[in-house]
Amino acid sequence: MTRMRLFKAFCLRFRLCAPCRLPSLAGLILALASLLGAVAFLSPFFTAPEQSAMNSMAHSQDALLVLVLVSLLALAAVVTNLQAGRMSSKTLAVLGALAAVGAVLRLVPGPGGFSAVFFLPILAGYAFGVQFGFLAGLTTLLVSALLTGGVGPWLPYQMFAAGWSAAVAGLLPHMPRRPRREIWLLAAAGFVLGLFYGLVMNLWFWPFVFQPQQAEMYWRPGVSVWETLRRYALFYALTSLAWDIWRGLGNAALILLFGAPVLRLLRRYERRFHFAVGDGEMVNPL
Amino acid sequence: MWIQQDFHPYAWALWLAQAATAALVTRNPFYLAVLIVAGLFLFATLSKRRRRLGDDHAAAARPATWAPILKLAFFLMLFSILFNALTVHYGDRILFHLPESWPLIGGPITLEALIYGLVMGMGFFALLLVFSVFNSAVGPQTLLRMAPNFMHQAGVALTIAVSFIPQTLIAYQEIREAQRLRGHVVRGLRDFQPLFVSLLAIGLDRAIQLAESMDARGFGGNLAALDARGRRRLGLATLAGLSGLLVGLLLRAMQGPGDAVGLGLMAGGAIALLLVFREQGRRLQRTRYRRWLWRPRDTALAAALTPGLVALLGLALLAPNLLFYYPYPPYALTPDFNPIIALLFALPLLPALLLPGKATAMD
Amino acid sequence: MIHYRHFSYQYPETARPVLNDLSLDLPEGDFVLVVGPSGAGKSTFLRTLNGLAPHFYGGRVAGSLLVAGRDPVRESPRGMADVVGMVFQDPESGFVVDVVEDELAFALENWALPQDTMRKRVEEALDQLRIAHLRHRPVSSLSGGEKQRVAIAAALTLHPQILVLDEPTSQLDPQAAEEVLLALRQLNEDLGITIVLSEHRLERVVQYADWVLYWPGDGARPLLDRPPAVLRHIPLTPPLITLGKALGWEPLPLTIKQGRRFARELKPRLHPRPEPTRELNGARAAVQVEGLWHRYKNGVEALRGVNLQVRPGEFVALMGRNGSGKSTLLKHLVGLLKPNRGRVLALGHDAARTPTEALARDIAYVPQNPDRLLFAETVLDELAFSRRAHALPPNEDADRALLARLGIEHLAHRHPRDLSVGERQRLALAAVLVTDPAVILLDEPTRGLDYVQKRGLAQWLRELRDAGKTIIMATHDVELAAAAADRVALMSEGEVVVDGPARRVMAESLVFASQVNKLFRDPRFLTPEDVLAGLKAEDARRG
Repeated sequence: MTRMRLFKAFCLRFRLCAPCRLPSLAGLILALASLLGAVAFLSPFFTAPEQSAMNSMAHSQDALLVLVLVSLLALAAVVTNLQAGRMSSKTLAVLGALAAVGAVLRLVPGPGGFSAVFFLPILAGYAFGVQFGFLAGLTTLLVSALLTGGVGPWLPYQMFAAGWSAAVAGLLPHMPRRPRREIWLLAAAGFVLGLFYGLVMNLWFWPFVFQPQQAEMYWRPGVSVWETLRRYALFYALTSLAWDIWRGLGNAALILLFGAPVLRLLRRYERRFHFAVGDGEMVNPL
Repeated sequence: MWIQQDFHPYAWALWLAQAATAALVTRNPFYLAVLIVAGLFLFATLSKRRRRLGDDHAAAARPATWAPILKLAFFLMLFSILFNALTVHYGDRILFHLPESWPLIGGPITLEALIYGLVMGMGFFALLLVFSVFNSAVGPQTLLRMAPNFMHQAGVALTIAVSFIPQTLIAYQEIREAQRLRGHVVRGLRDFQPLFVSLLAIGLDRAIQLAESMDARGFGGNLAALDARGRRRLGLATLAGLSGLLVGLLLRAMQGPGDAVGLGLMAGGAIALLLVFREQGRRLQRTRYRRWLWRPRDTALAAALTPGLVALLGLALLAPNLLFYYPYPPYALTPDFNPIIALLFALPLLPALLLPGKATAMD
Repeated sequence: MIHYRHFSYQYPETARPVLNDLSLDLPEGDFVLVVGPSGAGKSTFLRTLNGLAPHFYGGRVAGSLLVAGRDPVRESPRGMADVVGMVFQDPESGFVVDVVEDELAFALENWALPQDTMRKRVEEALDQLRIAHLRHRPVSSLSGGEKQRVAIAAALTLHPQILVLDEPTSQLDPQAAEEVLLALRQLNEDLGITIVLSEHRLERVVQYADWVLYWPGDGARPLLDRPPAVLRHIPLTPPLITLGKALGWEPLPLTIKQGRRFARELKPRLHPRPEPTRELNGARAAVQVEGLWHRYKNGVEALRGVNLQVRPGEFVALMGRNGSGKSTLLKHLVGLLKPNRGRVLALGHDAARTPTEALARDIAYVPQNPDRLLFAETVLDELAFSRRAHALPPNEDADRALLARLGIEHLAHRHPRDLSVGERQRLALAAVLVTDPAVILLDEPTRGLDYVQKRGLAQWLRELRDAGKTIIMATHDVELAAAAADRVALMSEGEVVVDGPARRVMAESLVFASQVNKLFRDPRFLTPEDVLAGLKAEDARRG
């Protein structure tokens, strides 16, 4: 029983489910689906060593198809189960509005190819919790893809990566009395999440760009996990790190500049979603 | 009630499945070239047809234009070829040398690397082309209307977002005008704050108004309530399905793609999830106002594409060597070409051939 | 049908309930008009009818409410959808899908009706609102009146017994509003649908209403009675009724036709007060528009050779249908739009060549939607923002004095988005008046204002004019123009078709004539004040 209470306290603390009535199945599903997504993206890291190169390479060309299908299934499982499969029109409309603003922000070209697409999902995840954050991240990316014609096999990776970024923001502690510290914390998170997004996004094509042995930074089937990690780290550092640091700094700067008013705004909306009848509290959460 | 259409959206969905699979399963430049030519021809046919039919139809689907597609193709190929040729110094047929002292790009430049860059660029382009044809043929609103029942809510969120975008752009204009009216000059990043916050506030206000209007028209009232037990049952089934996929994927990665247990677990997991989705979809009591016409030409398209899709998947899973191409030694630089397989990659052309030559208003 | 018993509702984080211990029964099958000062809780009241309040606004409810035998608080709005249809002020923000027909089918799909039923209901609704010709159109391409009729049709498809409309015509021009209201009247008469409608411009709608429900605000009890009985007791009345009340006309006339009898009797006793002649100083025009053409990117030709000269200290009302080019013209005066042909001189500057940011200091402009103008987090900050933007030193005392003159000083520390429409309108005005501009441009300033606020606005604008400001106001509010403007320019299809003294132009126009003017058909009497002053002059002459 105490364990149950502890679990509930944990859920409430990190707002895994808004009014924690039962150990949230949706939370578990989100966790498991995320794990599945992560394994799908990371599968190049644990490929069997004894495979013949030819066979394995031939298969890794269709592997992308398998991975895309698996991650789509995982995403669908999450989306249909969050909010117990019953999102209110408020949730849907607020999601839609955030995604629209996010997608428009993506159209605004920033310096050095930076785009402000993550800024809103991160703050929304922080303000409204893990589950909403995940949804906000993935819808924002999906909508901007629909808008720009960027639908393709990379999309599930983008949706997962953005969903995770926003969900992680939902785990951060709230400090309503120390708004300034809160913003610095979020800015730091925005920086790290910017790097993280790049780390995930390179994975989708890295195993499929077969490069021969000289280039030490490419994936090769059959090498050990550590070797693969080392190669990926090298590849990441050489090709992507600079961009990602830029993206992370951009996120952090945006949060420092606009985070406080945006957070206040989001919280203003939150209080409209609870109401009481007579003396009892009847909760009607986002 | 009936929407003007060239093909039934489900026929288009099948087309997308076949064409996207074709783009994903091979790196053989001949087959990719066949696919790209088929895609471009279809694209041209559709946009010509749309122009002829006039604006009515164009309102439903996005007008398809050539320029961005060709520009994209050019840059994709160029980037891919340059990047690959300059960074990969592997292969027997050396074209010329760059000084070794240049970091990353120094060393021999090989024909193999050049060709492989081209092949990768073609792969990307084929995939992009397939999706742009689909986007322009079906259009986001139809796409969202097609969403299966269990994705209905997610579809609504997306519909809202898509319809909010033009409004957000208008609001952006209005706010910029208002700021100028108050003498607000944007000098630094900080000056964007009022703009951005207002934009978001307007978006959220609209969202609440829209949600009010949706609820007032019965949205969400048709979802059969599920008791705690039913919810738990579905949740557990979802967890089981996800676990099946997870373990299967791990086995597949570690034991190799041919691992039967892994494949079985993955298939089981996928089926479990699909069953859960169907069950969740059933809870939603909702009917559809729009109907699409399923015409003989849709049947013809489906009849040709389904075996095509099955054949491609079969090849990819059972005889991947037939689709395999890798220019670097020890493999052959010249790709294989099998006319029967090539036919599978030409199938996406079919809609262009099945459409009647003279478009009528009802098409 | 609708029964409130000791019903209370309070918004979150407010001190007092908006609806306090309300007990009320609304009659079935009638047309009920809901009136009251802006911010008195009319919208809240309407939203309780299907449970949108509290479900969308949070807060606390108590007491009981039954609508067609159901409890909206427990049923939630979606459970009430087949009983209560709801239409909002801005139809566009309520549309879910892109095509008219799909919008109509949205509720039916949610209600899982079989397809042949859906088909029948959609056709019915299209015919009832006479929008069958729009069925394939994207909703974004419709005009304001068309959009509102689509929204009404979309609310009707579930065959609700009650149709609730929250200021449905406030954004429409008089003609479009008339069409919408006629359609509603017909729904009420032919189908027996109970209509509950709130509206500020009573002159448009009071003749259709069977009952008037008056919300005094401040927690006082509402008053429900037949229109003449209610109108006799309330301060918010259209000009005709204001006049009727002042002269003790019995029975109180609600329409021009009913009032004509009294007007005929009164006319011989009327002598106009002498018109105060105003010297306009300065030969140079404050605003000079020469041969102005403008075509939008989408090909719409909004202005076709407009000529207009406004002298310093003049008060001009630009009138005309929606889409006649009023707003486009105003935007040219501050350089927000550039002419394709022609020239705009504003205070001697070429508006096309001077940046808006600089022009805005001397030429204040309040756009149609004042909300867009507000950025800050408190009312006082809003004025400080303007000062910063124009590089003026901060001056809180002056800001507070300005707020006080507009009657919103007590709100100085509130969030602009928490204010009522009327308050936001005045705040927007304050935000651009900080710089003490010479020219003031207003685009539809009376949206959402009640009669008392409108009178206040007219009064205040006249004071500004008397202080030497030049005012140009685009409006289709005939009564405001009649009460305040010196000169009226009528626009149509991007041209100024009539331009002259307000009295002459309005007396000659059929559509843009004020109520009192329609009553007497005499350019010397446009407002109740004119008539009353005329009587006084007569009495003075006699006595």
